[in-house]
Amino acid sequence: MSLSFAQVLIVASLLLGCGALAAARRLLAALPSLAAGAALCMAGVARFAAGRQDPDTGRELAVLVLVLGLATAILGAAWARGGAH
Amino acid sequence: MLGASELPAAPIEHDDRPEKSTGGARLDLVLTIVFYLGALLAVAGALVAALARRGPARLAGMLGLAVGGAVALAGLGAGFAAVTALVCLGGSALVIGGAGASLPAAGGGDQAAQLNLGAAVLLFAALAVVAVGGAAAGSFATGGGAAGFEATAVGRLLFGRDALASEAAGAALLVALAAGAAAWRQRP
Repeated sequence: MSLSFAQVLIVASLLLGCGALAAARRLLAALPSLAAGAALCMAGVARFAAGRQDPDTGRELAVLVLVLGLATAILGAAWARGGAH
Repeated sequence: MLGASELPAAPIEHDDRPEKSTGGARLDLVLTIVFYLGALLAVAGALVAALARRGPARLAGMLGLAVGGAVALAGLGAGFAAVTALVCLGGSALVIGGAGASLPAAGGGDQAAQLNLGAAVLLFAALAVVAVGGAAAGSFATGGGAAGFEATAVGRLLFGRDALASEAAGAALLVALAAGAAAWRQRP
C-alpha cells in the first residue's frame, strides 16, 4: 500500500465536491469542507512536489487557507444570522 | 595570485547508504494508514455535514471533518497544518454547525442549485481524471523529510517571507470576528 499525489488529489477533490454539494444546498457547512479540500491539496503538493527547493511553502499556504476558511465561516454565520432577523 | 579556479576543491564524498531503510518503509506504511483513516473520516464527515437535515448531526459531521482533516494532514507530514486544521475547522464547526445556519436565498431557485450540483459533479470528475492520469514526481520514499512538526520553518515563511499574506489573513479573521460580534449583539 502506497500513497502518491493522485490519492491525495482524489481525497481533496472528494472534500471539495462535498463542499460544493453543501454550497448547492445553501448550507454554511460548505465552507469547512472547501477549506479542508484546498488545504489538503496544498499539503499534498508540498509533500510530493518534483522540485524540493522550498517544501514548506505548500504547508504555509495550507495554514493560510485554513485561517481564511475560519474567517469566512464566521462572516457567513454573521451574515446568515443577520438575514434571519 | 590565487584565483577562484585555483581553490582546492573539496573531495566528493560518496554516500553508500541504502536509499530506503526498513524503518523508513515502516514509517511510510504507518503514515499511509494514518492518511487513509483520516481521509475516510473527513469524507464521511463532509458527506454527513452536507446531507444531514438536523443541526446536531451536521455538527457531528463537521467535527468529524475537522478531526479527519487534521489526521490526514498529519499523515502527509504537515504537523503544524494539522494542528491549525483542528483549531480552524473545529472552530468553524462550533460557529456554524450547532445552529444549522444556512445562507439566505439569493434567488434563482432550484434550477441554480441543480446547475451548481452538476458543475460540482463535473469538477470532481475532471479532478479525478487529472489525478489518475497525471504524472507527479515522488513518493514517500523519495519525497524527502520525515513526518514532523515543522512549526519553525512554517513560522519563518509566514512571518518572514510572506508576512503580508499572513497579515492579510489575520486582518480577514479580525474583520470576521468583529462582524460576527456585531451581528451577535444585534440579536433580539
